[in-house]
Amino acid sequence: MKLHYATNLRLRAWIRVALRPIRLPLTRMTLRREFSDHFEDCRDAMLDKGLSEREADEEALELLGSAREVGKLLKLVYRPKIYLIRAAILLLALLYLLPWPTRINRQFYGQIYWMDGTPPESVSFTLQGWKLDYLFKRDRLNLELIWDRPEDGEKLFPPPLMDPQEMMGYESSGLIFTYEPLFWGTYVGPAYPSEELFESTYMIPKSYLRLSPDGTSCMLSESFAHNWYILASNNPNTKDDALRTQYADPLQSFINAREAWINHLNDN
Amino acid sequence: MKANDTPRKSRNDPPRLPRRNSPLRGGAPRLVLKLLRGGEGSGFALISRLEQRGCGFFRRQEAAIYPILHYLERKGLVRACRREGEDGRSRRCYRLTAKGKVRLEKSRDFTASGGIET
Repeated sequence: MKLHYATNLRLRAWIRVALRPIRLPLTRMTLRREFSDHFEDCRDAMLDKGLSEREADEEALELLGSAREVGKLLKLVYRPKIYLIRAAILLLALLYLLPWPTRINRQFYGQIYWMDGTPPESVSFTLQGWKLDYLFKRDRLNLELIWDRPEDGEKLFPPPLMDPQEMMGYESSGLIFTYEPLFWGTYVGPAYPSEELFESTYMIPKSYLRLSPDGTSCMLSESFAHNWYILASNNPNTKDDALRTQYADPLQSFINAREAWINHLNDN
Repeated sequence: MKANDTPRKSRNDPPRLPRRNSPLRGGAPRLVLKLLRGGEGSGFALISRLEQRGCGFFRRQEAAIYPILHYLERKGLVRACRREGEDGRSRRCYRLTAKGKVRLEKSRDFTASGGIET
């Protein structure tokens, strides 16, 4: 059956609108054919009734109804499947990533955080919190929940959030989430000769240091630098400009710490 | 807990209500199942049967029967197949499956006993 050009266009437009929510090609093809067949049957029935071809086309299109409404119903029928497919893809991606972490490192902060032992305003802070490290081969995913705990909170202004049990305050809490590819690492210098010695000084945790690809140098991880910067710049109690500048420059602080560590080795 | 989430305790319980936004909600799907009980047919044939009985459920919205037929097909209540008509053109025809028959019987019993529309 050959349709009039205008009718054909209108029918195609109707089908296109109705099938807009459907993404599955086979379903689209099936439905397109069904709608076309239905239109043809309707048109034949109208012609049998004695209508002219033009009138039959109009009437058949009219009887099909609203394409948008049909599209909404089709969306209800077929849309949930698409969500399932998306969920399956996400699950597969997670399954792909899961075997990759080489180490999961949970670290609890309990030590004095300030490196030179001179906390601002003569109040010592203890960094507390939880840290979760995922090492994906060379890249690292870091999630930390941290807070500062001043040992003499009454000296601070504004006063810290007080713990009624111990009458101690909490300051500068935050959630840190970083993803650190290898190329964000900052080159520092030669690799340290002994990891045990390095850890015993507790200048910088070992987990923040990474070997360069050739294995001869050491890199300060960028996430450590970021954490440092965040802590230094967000701490309202860091009123001393010199201290603020010092802590806001993580690389310089690291170099200072490294010198202190070398001096410590030389002294011993 | 929604009515839809309530687990069925036994087979004699009425079928669960479909989801609120489901096209199966309401009488149209059951109407289509009833029409198919009279024999297999294409969407157009089903609507013609309906009009012969004097029911204008899909009047001026005839294409709305296809989403419902596809929904029932996905639920396994009807099955589609290609059939060649008297005029030589093939049409996609639907027929009731055993599961569809059971579903129709259950819903009829439930409605007859004064239950809620399924």
